[in-house]
Amino acid sequence: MPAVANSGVFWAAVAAPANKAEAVWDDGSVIYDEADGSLTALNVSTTEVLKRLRNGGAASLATLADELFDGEFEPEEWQQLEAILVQLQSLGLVSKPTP
Amino acid sequence: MPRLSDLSFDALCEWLTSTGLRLSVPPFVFLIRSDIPVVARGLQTLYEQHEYEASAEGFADFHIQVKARRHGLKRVAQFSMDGFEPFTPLAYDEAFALLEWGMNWCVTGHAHTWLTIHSAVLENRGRAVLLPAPPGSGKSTLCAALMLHGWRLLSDEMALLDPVTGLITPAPRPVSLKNRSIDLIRERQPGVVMGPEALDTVKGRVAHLKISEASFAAAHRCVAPGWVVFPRYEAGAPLTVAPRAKSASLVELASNSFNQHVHGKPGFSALTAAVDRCACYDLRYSKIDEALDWFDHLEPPS
Repeated sequence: MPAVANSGVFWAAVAAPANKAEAVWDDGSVIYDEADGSLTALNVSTTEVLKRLRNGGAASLATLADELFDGEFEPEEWQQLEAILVQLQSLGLVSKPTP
Repeated sequence: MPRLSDLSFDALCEWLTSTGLRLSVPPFVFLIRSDIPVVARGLQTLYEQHEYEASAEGFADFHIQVKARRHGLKRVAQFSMDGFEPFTPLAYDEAFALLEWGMNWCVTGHAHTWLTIHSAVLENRGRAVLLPAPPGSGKSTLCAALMLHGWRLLSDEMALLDPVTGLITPAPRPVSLKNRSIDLIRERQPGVVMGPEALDTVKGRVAHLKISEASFAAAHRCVAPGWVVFPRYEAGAPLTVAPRAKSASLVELASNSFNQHVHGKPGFSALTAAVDRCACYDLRYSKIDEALDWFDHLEPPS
């Protein structure tokens, strides 16, 4: 694994807020926010990350990358994973719990 | 109840200009008033099998009028519902097209029992196909061709999805055809019945195609959605079909919904359930017969 920043930061799925609903398929998912009626489509990769955090519990960025990329990944893939987590955080679906 | 075909043209005009005519257009009842003969002609041609009551007494979902008035020196047609005029007047000769568009507006703007989606809907072998598509995609032409090919029309304009049962409620009304589509459908089936042509609307030349007997006869039979097909007509293109992701289909259907915001989370859940039970495709075509053949071979999703 290349030496990268934030590799030890932990991420965890957040229980879905009451004002949100979601539709999850293998080809992606859609989040509905009742507060403003907006829909956000999540692509396959983002859906996979969300599923992993929900089903497998909290994990560090390094662990996630290891699992999702089968132990081999490029720096840009690492950045992609980080961007996915930031997107999920902005939607209120994941957080970085304090240890 | 009597059918409109039982009424003479003069009597129809008389009722329309006086107390109004309560016309059953499943699943709604419209109380219609109009002093413009082309409206009566359109109703007589395209709604002859529909039941009516020549009385303003009794329930009607929508009270509508298409009346003549002067705009400067020109005679124009004005649509109103309960006295409210949502549109600017159209040319006098476009009055029947205005009535049809006004009826659409009544349903999409007010019938919130259903989740309404801008989409044609047809049924075959007990499952409905939704055809949501932007103007110019060939949706109405394809819809008319499918109906004339034996598919049951539920609507050429809106899917009424019941958020409780998950079924689609039929609302079959004449299919709105524009410009070359009018001639194309007439060439394919010379005996088809069309209403009055409006020649110079903002959409160009417009005429409405009468719905099939089978579509009218089954107008009270709801049906489960089975497929969502996003059609796109492209001159000269070979027929190509690609599965579309359910997530992308859901977003597209939601963006074509007139009232998803009214239904909130239950509406989103209903739409999700509908997409979940459907197979979703992008269809590109140029030859209608090829497209019809593809539709005929659609397998209901398990």
